[in-house]
Amino acid sequence: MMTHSQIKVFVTEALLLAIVSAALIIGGFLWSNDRADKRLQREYKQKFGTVLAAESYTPLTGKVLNDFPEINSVYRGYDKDGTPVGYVFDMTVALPSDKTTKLDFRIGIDFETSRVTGLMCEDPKVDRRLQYLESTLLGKQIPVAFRRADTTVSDDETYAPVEGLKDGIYYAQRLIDDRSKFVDYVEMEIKGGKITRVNWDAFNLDMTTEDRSYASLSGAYEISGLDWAVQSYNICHALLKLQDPDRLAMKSDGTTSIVDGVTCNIQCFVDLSKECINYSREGYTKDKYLSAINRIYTETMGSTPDADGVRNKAGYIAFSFEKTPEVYTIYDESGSARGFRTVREIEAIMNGKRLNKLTPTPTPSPEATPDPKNDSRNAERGAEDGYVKGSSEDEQTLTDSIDDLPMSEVATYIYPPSDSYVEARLAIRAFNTGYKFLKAYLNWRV
Amino acid sequence: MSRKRAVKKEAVRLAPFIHTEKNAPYIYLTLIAAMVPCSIYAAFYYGLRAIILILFCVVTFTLSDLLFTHIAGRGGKGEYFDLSSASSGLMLALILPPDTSLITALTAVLFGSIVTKQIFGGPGSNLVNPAAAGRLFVSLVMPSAVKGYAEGGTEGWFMLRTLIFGSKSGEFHDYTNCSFPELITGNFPGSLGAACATCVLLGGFFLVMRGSIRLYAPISYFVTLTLFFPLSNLLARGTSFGYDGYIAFMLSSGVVFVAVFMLGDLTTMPSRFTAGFFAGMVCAMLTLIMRAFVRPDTALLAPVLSVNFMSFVLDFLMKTISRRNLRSREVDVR
Repeated sequence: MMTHSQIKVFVTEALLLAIVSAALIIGGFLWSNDRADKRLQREYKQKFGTVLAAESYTPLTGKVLNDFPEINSVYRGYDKDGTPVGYVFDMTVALPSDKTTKLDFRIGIDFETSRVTGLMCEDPKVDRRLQYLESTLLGKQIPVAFRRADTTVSDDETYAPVEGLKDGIYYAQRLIDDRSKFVDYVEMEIKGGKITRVNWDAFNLDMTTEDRSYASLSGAYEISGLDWAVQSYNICHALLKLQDPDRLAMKSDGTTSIVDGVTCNIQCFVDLSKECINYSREGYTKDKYLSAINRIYTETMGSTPDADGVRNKAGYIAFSFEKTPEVYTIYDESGSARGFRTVREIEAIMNGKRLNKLTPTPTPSPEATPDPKNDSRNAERGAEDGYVKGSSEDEQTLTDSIDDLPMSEVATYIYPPSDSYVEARLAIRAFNTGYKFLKAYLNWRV
Repeated sequence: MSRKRAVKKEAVRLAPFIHTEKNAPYIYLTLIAAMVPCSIYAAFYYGLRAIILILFCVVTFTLSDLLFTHIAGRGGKGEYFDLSSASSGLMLALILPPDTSLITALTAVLFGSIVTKQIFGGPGSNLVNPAAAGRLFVSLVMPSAVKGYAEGGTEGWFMLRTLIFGSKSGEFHDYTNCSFPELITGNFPGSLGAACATCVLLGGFFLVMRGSIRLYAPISYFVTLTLFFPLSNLLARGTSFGYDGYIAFMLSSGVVFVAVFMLGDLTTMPSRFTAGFFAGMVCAMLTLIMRAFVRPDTALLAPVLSVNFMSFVLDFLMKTISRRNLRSREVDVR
């Protein structure tokens, strides 16, 4: 056994050892750290320079990485001035259907525009085979999908617009509010005979309440699935592609299964969009519509909207005609409701005119729901749920998801290489995973 | 009455009756003190996760040893508490990659403690180095969990994520790009505490001062590595027969740590000069050959276990040879 003095000596020596070593470590670190940094950047440049040209690279850390097991590491690249130029991902990617086939990729994404700056596979043979893919993708925005193999919708693909559209801005709103006192409206812009902009939102009868899109983003308005604002965006985006509300394949329950990320009832959107399209054919612009609804309110209520304080900041009349159904309801001979008049039709009646073509549109109220069998809308929509009029069977599934991303978010479509489909598909998955990471990391809103 | 019984008990205890300052706790305490520089290096370069990993390995190794000793019925006889568990746990932590998860560390600890130490009879009876065996076990069984080393530095001082999730980005680097200052100070991606040659040598110096190391094997190990490095270079790269990358290899591969803390070990290495020298030589040769074909960590540790296994045979053979000319059955106390 050690004596007391021996223990003292031992402890003193051990402490001395610790102090000397600490001094050596800190001194050594200060001496060598500059060299280590330079060496590290040299290694990064050598490793990542082919996929993203940058002056320096910094690894990204954070809990978000835990949600992406395929990502080994992510780096942000900077130029000489220290301005970020892009991201480099180091990934090991496998297909969900075949976990055994794995490839290691390095991909580069531009900082500002999310465009592809480079692709490299660590397997040199595969890398050579993917040269074509890399050259195709360079400068293209992510996420990416194959044109034929994974989807039937493409940004490049053109859908015939509805005939007879006149250029201008058109608008339609519901005449009654929903349970949350929101009044839906759709605004549509036509240019060159095509729908070029669509906005679906709703303002509230209570003017202190924000619009539905903002309310959904702030959490004040919640529905199942994605935020209402995101769903609204997705359905508008789909209509821009498809150019015809009938192609949205709305089912009898008001939902659609062909637009990813949209689970809400789109009946109101489809009806108001059709109303806008009809207005466009007739040249009945937004200004005329707002003027007409102003007149309808005045003649129905006996005072002006401004006097009653029902005009909101955006200039829309935040009022529900629920208590005056005779204004907008079409009754048959037996006195049963069989449809609803549009603002244009109500205005025509007020003018003492009779329109050639009656366009039954929206605004179903709980008290007066038309019989779906007799509803002329079904004839336009098609007899079966989700059926797309005038399209082949393949085209009926207009959207799908790729790598858990809704097709509405896909920015680039490419043709898959015939000789290395699996490898190319894995590379696409790598890019899409990178996109999802950036979306989560940077809190992108789509 | 009880005192008489105690005296009686004392009287019937069996030999040996050797009393020395350098008993097992002293030797293990010295070993732990010698590894303090490496631990400080780990804490400085890898921060909180290194401290947690070191403490975790030390505590779990000790607990595992205590539990197994209790289950096996070997404890409770008033024997002293030796520090072999703590020193093995510490040594194991220092040769793990910095981004090792706790579950991987625990696997290594349990293998080192139970399979290589307790099953063979506990402290002093183990054939192989428990730390090296535990580390090699996870390299072979869970290769993706210890697939390389991460960069150290002040940025990652408070990063604890890897303790749970491990690391996905580790890799074995090419250290020939490192400058001499980086290599000698350990400022490059390496194992938790074995990368800094300066710290290891400082610990080795302390062991020599305290007489807790046999130098035969480490010296022959270094000499053989130096002599045969060109041959290994030819095998590994197939291009040059020379000393390209010799300094980088010696300072970055962990051979200094192996030489000081594993080949100098009093329990698992041969006790005689010739046997120790031979074991060091064999270990070095195996390392040089294996580095051309297997992972660096395997090439470093598998040869250590090989010579551990053969050390008692070597000792026995050398003892027999040395006694060949002796007339009596006197005990060789060298």
